[in-house]
Amino acid sequence: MAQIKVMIVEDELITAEAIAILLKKLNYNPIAIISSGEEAISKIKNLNLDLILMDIILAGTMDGIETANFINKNYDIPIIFITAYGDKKTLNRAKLSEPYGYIVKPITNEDDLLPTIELAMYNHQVKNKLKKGNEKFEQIKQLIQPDKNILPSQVNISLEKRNYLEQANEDLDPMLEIEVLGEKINLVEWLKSFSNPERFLILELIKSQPLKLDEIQMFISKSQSTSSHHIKILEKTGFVKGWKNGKYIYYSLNKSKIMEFVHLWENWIKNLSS
Amino acid sequence: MKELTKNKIKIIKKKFKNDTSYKFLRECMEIIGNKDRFLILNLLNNKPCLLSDIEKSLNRSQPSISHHIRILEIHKFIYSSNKGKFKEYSISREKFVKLLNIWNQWFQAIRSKNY
Repeated sequence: MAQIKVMIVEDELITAEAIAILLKKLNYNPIAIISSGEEAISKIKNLNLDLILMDIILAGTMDGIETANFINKNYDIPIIFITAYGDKKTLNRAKLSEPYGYIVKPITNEDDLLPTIELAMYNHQVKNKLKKGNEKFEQIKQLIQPDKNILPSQVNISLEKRNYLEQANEDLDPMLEIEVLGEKINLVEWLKSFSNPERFLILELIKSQPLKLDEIQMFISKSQSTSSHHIKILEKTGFVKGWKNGKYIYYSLNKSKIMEFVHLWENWIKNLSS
Repeated sequence: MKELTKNKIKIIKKKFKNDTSYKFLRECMEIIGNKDRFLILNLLNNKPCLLSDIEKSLNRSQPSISHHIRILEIHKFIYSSNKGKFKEYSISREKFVKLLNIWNQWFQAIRSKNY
């Protein structure tokens, strides 16, 4: 496990050094010793801290409790106060900034520090877990609220589905960046409808005259389901349109759509061939 | 009328069987008519790429990309050149010039029939 990185905020250098030595003995890593609250706030961004030991009386205009309040609002780092003041008034003020521990000076050996720090780190972990659990609970609550009548097992499925859909959407984003035009995606679908020999034959057949489905079926000598599948694909891309006459549906070519395809396709090949 | 169309179909089918340019066109359409392969071709049109670059920008797994790349390379849509220990893929323009020529022949033939 990596060493826990600790910042010491203390105005008396000698005391700070003494605490640093004790921390090293306990196998922690005191990476910074800072004397004022303002400096601590400015440096906190660059240091990837796990714990802060804070004196209440500091060198700058801010005192330890104000600094702690600011850090609590903006960062997620546990703070332990180290101070000579054990009176009720200071303690009550310090309480409001939700510290993880309170150590009264003088600190003479490791045993004064170890239990408080260990407990603080443990409490921080537990708090984070609870926070995550709460967030998940809120999410689930929001998802369940609109459809209250659904049974719990069904809610699970819909939740999974939603997660899956969200993931799928995220996956699609980089694709859109590459794609220059939305139109070009259509080209792929259109090419698919041309690439099958039977579909090509159908197009060739109905270009001179409209045909019924059973006639098409007879000519390409395939089963009814196969030919209607091909027709469905061609209708979806828009190359073939069907119209009703009596009880039969006749299919004919949609010439404007085909010209559109030809235009797009030719431009694309020209772009790639030069 | 049905007799007439039957004869016509026979002619068309025969024509398709022997026509190499039709085969070529159909093959090209089948290969380009896939979203991933289409995007790969568009990507390589801008600049030559390594396999890992294609993987990142398409956000697909490595096996699926190399599957598509293999198909494109076999049919000579793209070619690869060694760059250190990696292979760099670039688009082969000749294939597309050929495709354009054959397509133009075909489309003119269709146009002349009052398509």
